[in-house]
Amino acid sequence: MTWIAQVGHVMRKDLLQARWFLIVYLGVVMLATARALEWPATSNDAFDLSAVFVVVAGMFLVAFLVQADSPIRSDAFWASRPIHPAAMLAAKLLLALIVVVGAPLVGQLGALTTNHVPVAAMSLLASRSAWTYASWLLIAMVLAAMTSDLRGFTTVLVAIPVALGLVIVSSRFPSGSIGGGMSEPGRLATLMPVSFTVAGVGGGLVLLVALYRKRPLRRRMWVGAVAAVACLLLSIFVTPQSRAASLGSSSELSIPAVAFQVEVREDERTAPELTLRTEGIQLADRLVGLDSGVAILRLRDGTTLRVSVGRMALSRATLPTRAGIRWLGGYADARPTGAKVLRLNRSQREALRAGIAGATIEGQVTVLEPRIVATLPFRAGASLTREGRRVRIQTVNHTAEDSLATLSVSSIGSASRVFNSDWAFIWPFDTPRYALVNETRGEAMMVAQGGSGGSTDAIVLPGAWRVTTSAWLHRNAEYFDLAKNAAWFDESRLVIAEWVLRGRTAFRAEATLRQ
Amino acid sequence: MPVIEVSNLTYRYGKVAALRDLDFAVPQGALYALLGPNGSGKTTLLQILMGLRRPSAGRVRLMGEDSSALTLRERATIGYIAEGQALPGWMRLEQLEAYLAPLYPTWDAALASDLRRRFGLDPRRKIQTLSRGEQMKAALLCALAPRPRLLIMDEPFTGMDALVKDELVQGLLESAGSEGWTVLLASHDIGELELLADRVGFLAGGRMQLSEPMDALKERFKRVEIIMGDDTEPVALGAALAALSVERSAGRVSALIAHAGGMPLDAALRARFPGATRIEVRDASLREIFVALAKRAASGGGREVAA
Repeated sequence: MTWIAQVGHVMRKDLLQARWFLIVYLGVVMLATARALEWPATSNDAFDLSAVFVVVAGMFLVAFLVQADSPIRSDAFWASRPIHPAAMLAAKLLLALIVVVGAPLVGQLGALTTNHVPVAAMSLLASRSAWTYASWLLIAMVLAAMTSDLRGFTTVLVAIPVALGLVIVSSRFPSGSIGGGMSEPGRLATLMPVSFTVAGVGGGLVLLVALYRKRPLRRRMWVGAVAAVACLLLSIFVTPQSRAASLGSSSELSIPAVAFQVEVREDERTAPELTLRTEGIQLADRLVGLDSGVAILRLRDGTTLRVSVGRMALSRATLPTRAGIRWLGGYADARPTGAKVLRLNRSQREALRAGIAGATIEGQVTVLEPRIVATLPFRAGASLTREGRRVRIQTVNHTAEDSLATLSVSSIGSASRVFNSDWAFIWPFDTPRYALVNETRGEAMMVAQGGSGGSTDAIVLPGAWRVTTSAWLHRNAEYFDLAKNAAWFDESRLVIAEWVLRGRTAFRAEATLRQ
Repeated sequence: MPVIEVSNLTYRYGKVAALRDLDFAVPQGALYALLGPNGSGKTTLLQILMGLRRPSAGRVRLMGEDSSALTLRERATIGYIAEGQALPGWMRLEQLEAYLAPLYPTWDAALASDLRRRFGLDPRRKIQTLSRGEQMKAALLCALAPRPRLLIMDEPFTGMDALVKDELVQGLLESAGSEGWTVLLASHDIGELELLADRVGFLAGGRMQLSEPMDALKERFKRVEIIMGDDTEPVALGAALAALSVERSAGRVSALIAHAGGMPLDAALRARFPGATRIEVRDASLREIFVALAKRAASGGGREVAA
């Protein structure tokens, strides 16, 4: 029997040996798939962690398979038989990939298909899930190969991540970076997750090959195992830098000129007060905002003073609509007349008494673009499933002032967000998401989201997530009169948009002074 | 060419040397008994021969090849049984046979069936439900059915009743003779080994104290009993014999000696002890030799007994 034939021979034996374990595992996978397919029987909270159970069950299954033919035990039955170590290892790896990864992947693909996820996105999500899950299984295989029974495996499985967690936490506390805000994930993301993946997967496989070939367990192998597991864990948890962050300087962005005015108000009794005003810019299909803004004030005594501006919208965000649609309440016609009172500390106020000779505004300009994700009739029960996103209007009550409608939006993606927006860049700006458009009358009005609640769960495997949000919508006060016109609502369609980051670029402009 | 050839073999568990500078060879067709007290390194040595452990130093060759570089075909000609070996307990015996048969080009299903019948094993029973003795029989069946060229057995008689043990010994003797098997067998069951083995190796304290043919061993080690008619002190007699072990009583000395050859022992003793009323010389049993060598090794005796 050639060693390649031995691979199949050992796999058949393993399938027979692990049949009860496999049945339990496939049961867990089926429950997770049923949950992903939104079968009513699995809507209970108890199924929230079904994907976690799939991963844990899979890890124990591969640990069982590895330890069934232990590479380190000198009394292992296979070791004294004419079985090639490479055949034994290949059988375990193939079984893990084909059965343990394959079964939930089939379930995931089924769930993604029923949610009309585009093929490209489906491939990306499935491959990402499979890779993440395979990394977990490789961790399990390495640890199972190093230990002689499931009890030892469990102990090490718990001990290593806990120890690594303690090391990471203890190494971060002294730097004072805990609570350091958004900068910390960015720094971690620069640690080249691809290197972790290569080191983790490569190291794990090399270690397995060494164990199966050389057999006796050496201390340095434990060092290698811990290093490989650490790299694999980092490759799972540290994701590459986001697209948003990588758009750090998009010099090709064309930003219309923005007129800033710095207004200084002071009298003898009160401290000087500084207000930054802007006329704003009018863009039909984009929202422009100033981010990380700083006002650099040139004082008459020759010194400069830097005052933080923070974030500020420079244009009014609107949703794209067919030509000829009129926004009720003049929403789209109004130019944003932004005004922001700048906070000054005591020393800045004292410095301002010297008088301001000129001012420059610096910062990053963020450009966002709306994208319509759903348009559906404005009535209870209306629903739409498209591109992995499912929207369903649950209730409509256009006579109520506080709650116009409630809807459920679920979205499938690789990150735990309903909308494919880069929240870190979008949340400070007023980005409208809902509108009612009455095409018959050629009118539209914005609808505000009053509140929301939701949940996130994995689609069979980690790596593909469904975020479900229940939102209730209400009208802005200026539209209350429309509530009496039920026909208007009946004819309307609810338009739902998401905002997509188009880029960020450095910004610098001179401001006029008004004292 | 020897089937097993071990030279300068050393194996360490950490800093402790379990085997030190071992040199021995097992020729084709030999039935080699490896003896040694508990902890002497027998199991470690057999595991090294099977490639389950890698030597710290030295070389092990099986059928002319380095033991760690044997091809699958060469490995398929080696049968191995170990007392503590984990059999796949979840399998039925027939499943175990079906699993192993394709791995061995020389698997003899008829022999397996015959052995199963002789051992009284039910093929439909799961291995884990078999008694310890029955599990050893199952392991033996798996080792013998491929008709191996080399059979390495570590305490194979454990848990077997006298009848089966006798059958096995008889079967081994027949098979080894007719099939030309080479058998290396480590066991505490010295009585069975004495019947089986034609070569003996004695391992103690991690060193091979002796390794030679059984005939030569019997020729060399003699039990001598001398009854003195005069007042010669038995203590002085023991010292004069340079014995491995000496038992004394009033006027009587019983000693185990390693005879260097030359003049017949009777004549040499009569010349050495002219006042003896009776001198009796007989072949020492393997048990006597084993016990004497073990005691000597435990008290720090060297390798001077080696032939």
